[in-house]
Amino acid sequence: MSKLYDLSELREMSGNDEAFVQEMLSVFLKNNRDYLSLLNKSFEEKEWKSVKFNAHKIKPSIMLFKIETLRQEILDLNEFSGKEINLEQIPPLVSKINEVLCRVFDQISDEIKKED
Amino acid sequence: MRVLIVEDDPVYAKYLKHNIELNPDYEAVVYKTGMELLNNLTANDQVISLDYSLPDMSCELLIKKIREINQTIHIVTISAQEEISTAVKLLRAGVYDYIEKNEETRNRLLNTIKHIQENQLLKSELEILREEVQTKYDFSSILKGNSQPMERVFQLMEKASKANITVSISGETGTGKELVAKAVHYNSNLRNKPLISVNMSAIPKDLIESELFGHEKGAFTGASARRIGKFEEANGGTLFLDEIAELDLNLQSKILRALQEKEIERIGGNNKIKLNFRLLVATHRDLAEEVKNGNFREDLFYRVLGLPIKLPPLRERGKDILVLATHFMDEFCKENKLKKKSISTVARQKLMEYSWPGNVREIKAVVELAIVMSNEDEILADDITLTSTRNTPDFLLKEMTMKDYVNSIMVHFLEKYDNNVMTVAAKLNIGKSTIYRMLKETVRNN
Repeated sequence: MSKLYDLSELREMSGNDEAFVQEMLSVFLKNNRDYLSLLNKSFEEKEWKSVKFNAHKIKPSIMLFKIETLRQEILDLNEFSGKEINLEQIPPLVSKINEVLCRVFDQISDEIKKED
Repeated sequence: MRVLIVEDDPVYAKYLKHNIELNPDYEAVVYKTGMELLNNLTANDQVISLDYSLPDMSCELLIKKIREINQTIHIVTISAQEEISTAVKLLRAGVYDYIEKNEETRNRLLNTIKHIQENQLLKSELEILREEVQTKYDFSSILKGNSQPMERVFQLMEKASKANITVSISGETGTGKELVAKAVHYNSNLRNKPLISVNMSAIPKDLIESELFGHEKGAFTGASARRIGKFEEANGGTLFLDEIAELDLNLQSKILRALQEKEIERIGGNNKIKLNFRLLVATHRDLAEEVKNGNFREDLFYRVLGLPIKLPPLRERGKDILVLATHFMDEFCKENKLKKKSISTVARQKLMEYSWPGNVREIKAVVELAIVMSNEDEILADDITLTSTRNTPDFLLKEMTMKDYVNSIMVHFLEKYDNNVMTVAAKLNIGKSTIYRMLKETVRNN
């Protein structure tokens, strides 16, 4: 299965500092699992402001780890929940974000284990 | 330089910190909340990278609180918000830069921090230069001499620096009028504001109006863009109009209006521009005499007279001649890495007896040349080349009897008027026979 993320940016800017890359992966896992769970909770409660806040927090990590399959989805979720428009399009967006991110979490966990 | 990062997202905080610290000149400190930052912020911190959406307070409120602690800190906001209105709002609130969280964030932030560091460096260099300029224009270092006429000048300069009164500086060419203007400005409370100098005799007549008042685009052929004039440039500071007596009458009336109304209109423009500046003027001419001769407007004369400072010619400054000669010699030797030289007694006498029509400017040139020409440790009389362009006699500097003085005056005038006894008699208001008698006596004595 091909990787859903790309670490080239992190590797390039750190001068291939593997320790730093591994550290970033660990922080990514911990942090975005938390944000994703908060996003799901606020989505269930239809708390759109909170959905926006958590989507907004996940967005930079998606850009940084180059998770291209979610690039447009996270931008749309951010916009729709913030402006409370196209609310019918939010459930499939949340669903796709969950599906892809969970696979990313698995892949990253494997990568960290491999390093260990 | 310490860079404060306020970021609640640990992934991004780590990413930014790592990037910033790749430059060994930077140290990055991460705070997760606005409150954590406020508890640690000091008045000496220079840069904050601030996340737009923090969990404990709005970005706008945090900026306000930061400013209460540190008014000069550069705040760079970083946000995943892509709305232009957010960026505009923050820039209006005084943030230094607004950077979006995307692939370019890293480079943009590093460039911004680099710019801030360069600006800080330029600012501190500017401060040092300002201090240097102030020292340079200290009264005693700018004008050398301790003769009585110069003591009076120093007193007037001190008074001129303490109040923002108009000052008119007069004196022969080379007496240091421009230096006095600079010293007055750099010792006044406007020292950190601009000093704009305009030499009326150095600008072609056709250009001077545009130079002073500026012009709008298309005001005349060749006016391809709007140009700010010297009056506007000097707004808030000091305007120094050098050689003001050289202005033609038409322009004098325009300048008078600008000085009276404290407002101008650019050439080709319709808007009146309010101005506030301090005025210093200088001339080598006798302005009152120019008024009498109809060359200078009387109303403008009274407008620019203010506190008059008359610089004495060097020939009336006695021992200052030697003070200046020594000062310029030492300065020249230092600049050219030469051994210091002294002045022989005869050379001193030669300097003291000369009339110095070019004043301080001339003595500087003369002693510099003397050093170059000199082969000894001291300057000899022969090393000093005096090349006066004026036909002014030096006899007043020599000590003679009254009779000899009178004879010298008569000889001088005879030479000046091609030995025309009629003209000289009329000029000196004496009879022709007196001139013939004195001439006979002179011939007999010689």
